[in-house]
Amino acid sequence: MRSIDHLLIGGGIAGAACARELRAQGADGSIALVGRELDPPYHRPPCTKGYLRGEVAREATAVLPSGWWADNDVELLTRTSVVALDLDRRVATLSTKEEVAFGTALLATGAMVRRLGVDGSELEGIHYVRALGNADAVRRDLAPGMRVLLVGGSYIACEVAASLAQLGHECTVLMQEALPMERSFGATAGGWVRELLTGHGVTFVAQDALERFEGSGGRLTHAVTAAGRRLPADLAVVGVGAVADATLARRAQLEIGRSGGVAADAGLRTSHPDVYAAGDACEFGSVLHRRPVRIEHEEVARTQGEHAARGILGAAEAYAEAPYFWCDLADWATLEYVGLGGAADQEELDGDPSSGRFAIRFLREGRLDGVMAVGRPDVLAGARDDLVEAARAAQPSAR
Amino acid sequence: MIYDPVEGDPDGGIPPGTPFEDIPDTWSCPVCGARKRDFQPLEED
Repeated sequence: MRSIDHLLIGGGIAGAACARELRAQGADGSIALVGRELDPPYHRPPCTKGYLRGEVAREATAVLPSGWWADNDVELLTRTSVVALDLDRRVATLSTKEEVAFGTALLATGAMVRRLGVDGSELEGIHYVRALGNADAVRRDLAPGMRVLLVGGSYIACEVAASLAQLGHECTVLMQEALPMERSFGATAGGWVRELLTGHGVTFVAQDALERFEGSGGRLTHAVTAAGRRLPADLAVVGVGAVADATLARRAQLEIGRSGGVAADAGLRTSHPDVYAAGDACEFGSVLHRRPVRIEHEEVARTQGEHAARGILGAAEAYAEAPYFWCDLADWATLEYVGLGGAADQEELDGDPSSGRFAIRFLREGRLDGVMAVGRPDVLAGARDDLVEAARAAQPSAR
Repeated sequence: MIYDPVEGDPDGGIPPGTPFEDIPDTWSCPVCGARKRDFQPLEED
């Protein structure tokens, strides 16, 4: 049996960032990254943005240049899963049946889409978007001027609606919320998103829910809602959230958090001292939030991968990056957010949303919780520091 | 994902031990939602 010093499980940005940081920090041991994806680690955001619209080439989505892996002596095993992890023996079993001994491991197994179980879910023309392959499937399935239904009111549905409306499709967003993205950013921001997308021809069906899909000849033709609406649809994209993929961790008897993610401490170390977690699958004890959280944002996955690398090499710092997130609505606008993502009880609006340049400061119990900005990079620049400062002031011992 | 017949996909209604061929065409990937027809056979060395 061969032996790997650092085994990185999961082929997304967290694993890639961990590999890069390990080498950047001078780690000279052997490193292998094992991922089930067909492609080397890539950025997921283009799947609903430029890649979906055909503006970004597949190779341009790669996290690292294709030659990086060999140049840095990091073994990259795509299309390969770790199917079992024996933590007592420190042996991983791969889908190739090979057993690999390891010194330390990173669990960055990502998240899985929430699948709909409504009647008609098996019809042709119903898609999810998480991977490049999903975006390929949507593009293959589209014909000019299609009626597209987006199920969900969060950023996946809004980004896909914007992208496909820009390509000339007739998009309808069906959502339980009154306003798009209001669960994350409140009514002011939600109203702005609705106005922007409506202005580009997107229709919203709000405060309603999908009851079932209907079709003809095995192909989607309509969606029927709980309120009895019958919405015509040639194609549907479902964006109703994701759940942590903690299957391997659970099987290895690692501790699982309340959100279903792999439980980790403030430094991203799991219940096994030599196993770290990062990215969508990781539920960590956040010193900024002062509770365990699991965050599904690319920038968080990247910085957690880097943080875990430093932990693997002996650093004992808490992960204390203020989460950053952005959302591109075609090339019409970019919404940026830095913050803790909590339920704010007060909003401070700076600027006029109708001008396309504004910012919202979210407060909870008088304390800064997050900042959202559109066309205001000046506001966002200082927000990270303000947030970390505010969180530390609330808990002076946090480091 | 790589479908493992030993594990199946219990959350997706596929009991452990189900060969890939026996999964209904209506099944979708628990990771990304891709359809059964989008899967490719894994070539083992």
